[in-house]
Amino acid sequence: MGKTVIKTEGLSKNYGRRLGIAAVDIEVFAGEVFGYLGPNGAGKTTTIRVLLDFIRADKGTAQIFGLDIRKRSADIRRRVGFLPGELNLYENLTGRDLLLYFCNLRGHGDWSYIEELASRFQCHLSQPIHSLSQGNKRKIGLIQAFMHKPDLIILDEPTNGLDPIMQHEFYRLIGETRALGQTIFLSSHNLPEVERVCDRVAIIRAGCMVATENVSALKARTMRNVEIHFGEDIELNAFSAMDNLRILNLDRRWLKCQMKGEMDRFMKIAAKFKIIDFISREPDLEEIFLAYYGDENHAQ
Amino acid sequence: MLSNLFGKTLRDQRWSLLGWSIGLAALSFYLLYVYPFMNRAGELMKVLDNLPPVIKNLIGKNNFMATPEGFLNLQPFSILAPLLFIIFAVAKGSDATAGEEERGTLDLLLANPLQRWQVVMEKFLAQALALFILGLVFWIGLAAGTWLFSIVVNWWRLVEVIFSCFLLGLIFLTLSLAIGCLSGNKKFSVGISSGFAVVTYLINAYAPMVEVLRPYRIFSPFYYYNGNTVLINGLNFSHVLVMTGLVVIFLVAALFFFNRRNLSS
Repeated sequence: MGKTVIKTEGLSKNYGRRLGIAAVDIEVFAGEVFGYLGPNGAGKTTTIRVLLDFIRADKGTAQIFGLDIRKRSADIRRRVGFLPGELNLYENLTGRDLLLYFCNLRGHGDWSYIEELASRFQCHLSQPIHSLSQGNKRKIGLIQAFMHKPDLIILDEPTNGLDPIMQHEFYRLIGETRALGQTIFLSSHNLPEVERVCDRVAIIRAGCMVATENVSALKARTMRNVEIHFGEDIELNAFSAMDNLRILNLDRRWLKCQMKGEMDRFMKIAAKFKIIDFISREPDLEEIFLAYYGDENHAQ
Repeated sequence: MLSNLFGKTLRDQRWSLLGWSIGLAALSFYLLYVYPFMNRAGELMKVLDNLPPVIKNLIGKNNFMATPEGFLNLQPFSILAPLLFIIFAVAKGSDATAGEEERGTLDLLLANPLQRWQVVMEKFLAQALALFILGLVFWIGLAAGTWLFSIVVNWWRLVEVIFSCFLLGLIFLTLSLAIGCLSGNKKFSVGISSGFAVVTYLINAYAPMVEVLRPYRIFSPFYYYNGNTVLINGLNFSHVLVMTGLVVIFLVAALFFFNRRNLSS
């Protein structure tokens, strides 16, 4: 593992009536894509805003690049790119003016890279921002986070509002950025997205850390919902010997089950019969919490 | 103009500054155009000069019609000019950080390597410059008007009273900035600053006639602005000092509040 880029210990923020975060411990290493997974309102944005010193933690400590997030915030932000979850741009500027302004505030900017990103995301920089759709504004937000090739990129729900083609382009960009040795901290409520792009993932729920895992381990533990409609009657005990399978409903031609880990054996058994339809659905986050971490995390 | 936060703040107000400048220049010409007619209406002057002191204090000063300075001291410098400068200042000051916080653009701005004090200072300086430009345009308008309509007014005294007006504007600019930095709420900042302006104006206006108010006059910025009738008697150095002190206090408060604030998303 590389050097530690982000390290938090017991980071807590209490909003009073509203949920904040409680004792969040995160360690992110250089060169990795770190996912921060949790449902909406779990505390992902709060954590990010504390890290960037927009709000101040009540308890705990945090360093980025080994620098204290309070005392050295401006030095940290010089080396960080950030995309907020709720993106608001200067509506009276054009995309080009906005990027020029931010380049000037940072003291540098690589315009050939900016043009390259704009063309990849099919982003029209000469139009006033107020005339752009949400998706196009989001693209400008992404460009400003990546344009100065920062050591650390913090992205809060980055694919919100992006169409599937642009999401795909974004995932490619993440891969290229990792290959260059940059570190990415990405918050999301979308499990497939995190599984697709991240190396490791921290899971947060109701302000509390549930777990930090390698994505491969998470995948192995992920319960998939599977439904198969068979074209012929099947033997009821055909799948009974599998220990990574939980059958929810089975009649002669319909199987509804939950599947953990590899599907190879299951598919080979199913393939002995005529199949009319096959549906596999990723579990949602609540199902993961219930299936893996039990009810004790529920209470928190 | 997009090379730094100062330039961007100035750029953002270019149209409003242009509008205000045209308005103030037009106001200057209008007042100086009507003055000779007022001056000739001797009977009206007598009526005005014989008004009860209470009314005269509310709308301006004594002996207001006898000279061009007396007229200008009443109109615009007793109510209209300070009011316009305060409206401009409060609109800008309350928008500086609180407006940006409410529009949600502050997160993105502060993602850049800026210190918080730097955000407050650069915005303040740009808005103070805008207020200064407004004062300059106002002076040019009035000076050009007196020349055009052949009215003899001491142009240096005009500089002094407009400078006093500028300082009054700065007081309300920094006050609304500080309240915005404290609360993050633009409307709250506008409300409190405007309320403060109305109350302190009334204290200063009634103080000469109402015994019980008189000691409190020194708490009103309006007393320091024109308590000395600057256009006739010139700037009072201690008054300038008090106004500058208030600007510094409010600015330091703004820096302090913004630095320790949890910014809303």
